[in-house]
Amino acid sequence: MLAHHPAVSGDSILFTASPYRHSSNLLPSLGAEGHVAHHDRANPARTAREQSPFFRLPEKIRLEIYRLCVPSGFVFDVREHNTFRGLARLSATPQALLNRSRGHFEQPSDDSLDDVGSDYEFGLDEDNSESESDGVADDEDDYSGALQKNRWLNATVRRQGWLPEIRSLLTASKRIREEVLDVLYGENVFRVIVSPQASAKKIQSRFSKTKVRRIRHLMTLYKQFETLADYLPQCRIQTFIRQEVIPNLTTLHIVCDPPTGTAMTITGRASATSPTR
Amino acid sequence: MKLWLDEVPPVLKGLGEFLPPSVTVLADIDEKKVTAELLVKHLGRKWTPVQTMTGDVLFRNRSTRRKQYEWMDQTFKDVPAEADCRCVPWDERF
Repeated sequence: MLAHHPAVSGDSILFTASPYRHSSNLLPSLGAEGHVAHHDRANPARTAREQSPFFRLPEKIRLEIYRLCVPSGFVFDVREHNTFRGLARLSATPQALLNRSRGHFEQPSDDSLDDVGSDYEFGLDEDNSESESDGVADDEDDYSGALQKNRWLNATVRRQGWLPEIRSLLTASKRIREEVLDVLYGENVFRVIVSPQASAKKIQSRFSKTKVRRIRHLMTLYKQFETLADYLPQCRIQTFIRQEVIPNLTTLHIVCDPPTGTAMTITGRASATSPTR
Repeated sequence: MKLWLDEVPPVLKGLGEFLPPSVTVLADIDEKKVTAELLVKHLGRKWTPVQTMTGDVLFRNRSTRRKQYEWMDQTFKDVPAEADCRCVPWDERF
């Protein structure tokens, strides 16, 4: 559909300055909802006369065009600077994801534990080992088969060439800026780490209040760390996020990993030190 | 150290209070049974289990993980009663 429309046949439409005038009538201030539909409702006759061909396109098509230029449907870490860079180092490993040193994590699982001798490493005595093997839950099938795969991709799986396009569009005109901001902040997921380290401050410092209120999809990421638990409050979501971000959400992703998880499935070493088991 | 069972409920309750009614909650959790019970009990709204790329990295070995024993993912509610031992001085035992 887009390819046959004369107004979208050239790149110049996207990147040249729009003749759209920034009158207060035509560009109402965005409220907490921040949707672009307001623009089309304001004084339609005058708007149509003064609009560029690009703005005469239906809003739906304009948004589709923006989605071809800027990220949409990706997960970005709020620690990124600039925000939409898609840094591989922030999601490459669990340590990097949670901003922790390697010492806070258990060793990776060894598939060889499936072989003979794994019961010994789990500390099971001979009598128990038989009954435990009967009670094995086939979780692998649950994860790979029954679980729905989320459509949101980590931003690092795609090329990191978004910033020039984003900057170009954001500086093209106020109206394009408003529409692109809605796509950028409303159609991507922002990943927040729930930890004593202040994720909220990073959001506050990187995003203005109006941008934060455009966020529609949030991912909270949490893993309990035994080593810090004695003196730090662990599990908390900052007030700023609760008050400014969460009320506007349409989707909340909760990703969490209790301490019993990987530690128990790896070897008996970690289980000996944890009071939770 | 706070137990997972003690630590997560206040956060979920807080989330549940501030979330708008129309929000879709998707959860990617390891040790499904324990955390799922907490979500059902304390979040106060429907949620859908999903597999995310972030969870794949965080749980690291999920796709190739070895099979999980049932006892790893239980709350062991009867443990406090079973472990309730009172200390009796040596002299009073006889």
